[in-house]
Amino acid sequence: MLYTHNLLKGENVHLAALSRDDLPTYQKWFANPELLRLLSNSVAMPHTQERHIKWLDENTNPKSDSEYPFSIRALDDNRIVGGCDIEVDSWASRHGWVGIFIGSPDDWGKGYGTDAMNILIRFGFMDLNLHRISLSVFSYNPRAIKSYEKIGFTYEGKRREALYRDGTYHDMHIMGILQRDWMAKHHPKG
Amino acid sequence: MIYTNNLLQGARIHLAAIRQDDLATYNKWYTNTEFRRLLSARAVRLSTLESQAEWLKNIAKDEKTYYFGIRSRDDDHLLGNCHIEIESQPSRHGWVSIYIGEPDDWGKGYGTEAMGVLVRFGFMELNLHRISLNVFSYNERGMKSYEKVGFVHEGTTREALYRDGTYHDIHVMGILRHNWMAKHHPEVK
Repeated sequence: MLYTHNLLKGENVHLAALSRDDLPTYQKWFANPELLRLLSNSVAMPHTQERHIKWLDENTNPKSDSEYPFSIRALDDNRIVGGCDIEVDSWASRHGWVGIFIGSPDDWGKGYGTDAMNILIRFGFMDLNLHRISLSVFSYNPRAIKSYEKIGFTYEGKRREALYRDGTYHDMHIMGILQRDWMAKHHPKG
Repeated sequence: MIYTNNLLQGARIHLAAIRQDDLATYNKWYTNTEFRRLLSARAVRLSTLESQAEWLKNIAKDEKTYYFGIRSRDDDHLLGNCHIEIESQPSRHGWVSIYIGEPDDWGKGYGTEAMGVLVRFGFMELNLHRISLNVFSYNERGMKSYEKVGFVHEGTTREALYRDGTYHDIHVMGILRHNWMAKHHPEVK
């Protein structure tokens, strides 16, 4: 056994279940169009309270064994700094997609996202036994691309001009990491 | 790609979706107590067309289990039934169950053939690592068939089954993906 009590723990953050108590924080974060445009390709509309409640209801009690949602919390004071999830696309192909965000711009660039993504990927390979993990990231998000590369994701291709923002079309990049690449780096003897 | 159109085919049988118009045949089989006592550790509760219809409705909603009818390839008539239930996706572990319905069809190798196809589906399509099954100690024909497919006896749940004044053992058998691959596709490393 390699990871037990520290399976969901990183250097500065840990992954925890979602909580209804965080509703006001989510509402504040998702009123910021800059965050909305980094996180999703949908129209940057501030989320309504109803939408947050529905989302929290679904994610505090997922009905499917293919969805693993987490909140990201600081290790020192347990405050929530963001969220992340793995969704298994195909169990037979052992393929999952990840998504991640750090909510407050004050917390961006501090390495919380990289730390959390490292835990999430480890969970995907060490607990879910995935073979491959994918993500998509927008071409105008170089901070995230750098973070994903640090973790071990490689650029695999792009959907050209898939995203319209402010008069221009932008590319959506696909990045991926394989279980054996991750194992070779983290557990070369295993 | 190794298996394409023949993924669900054996030499004489194929695995197919379960049909509404098979329910009367299932219901007939389920009134045979010898059959029932080979299939399940539960007490024999007689089935009805209504309870069979309910079963069909439930399995359509079951996302963890893959159910098949076993049909003969020459005239497509229904011979039996089998399924794989995934116990753990991360551990890639599934449980199988199988039966041939009509006593006249027992001992002809249909079950062995269908189990071969089912296990292949488990390893080649579902990407399982391990497949398990339970078999009752008084079902020697079943055990022999499973051994032919490549299952090995791994343990015994002692006196787990009461039948007619005596307790019987339930055997656990299993097959691992690399055993199966070594036998059927030694070229794949």
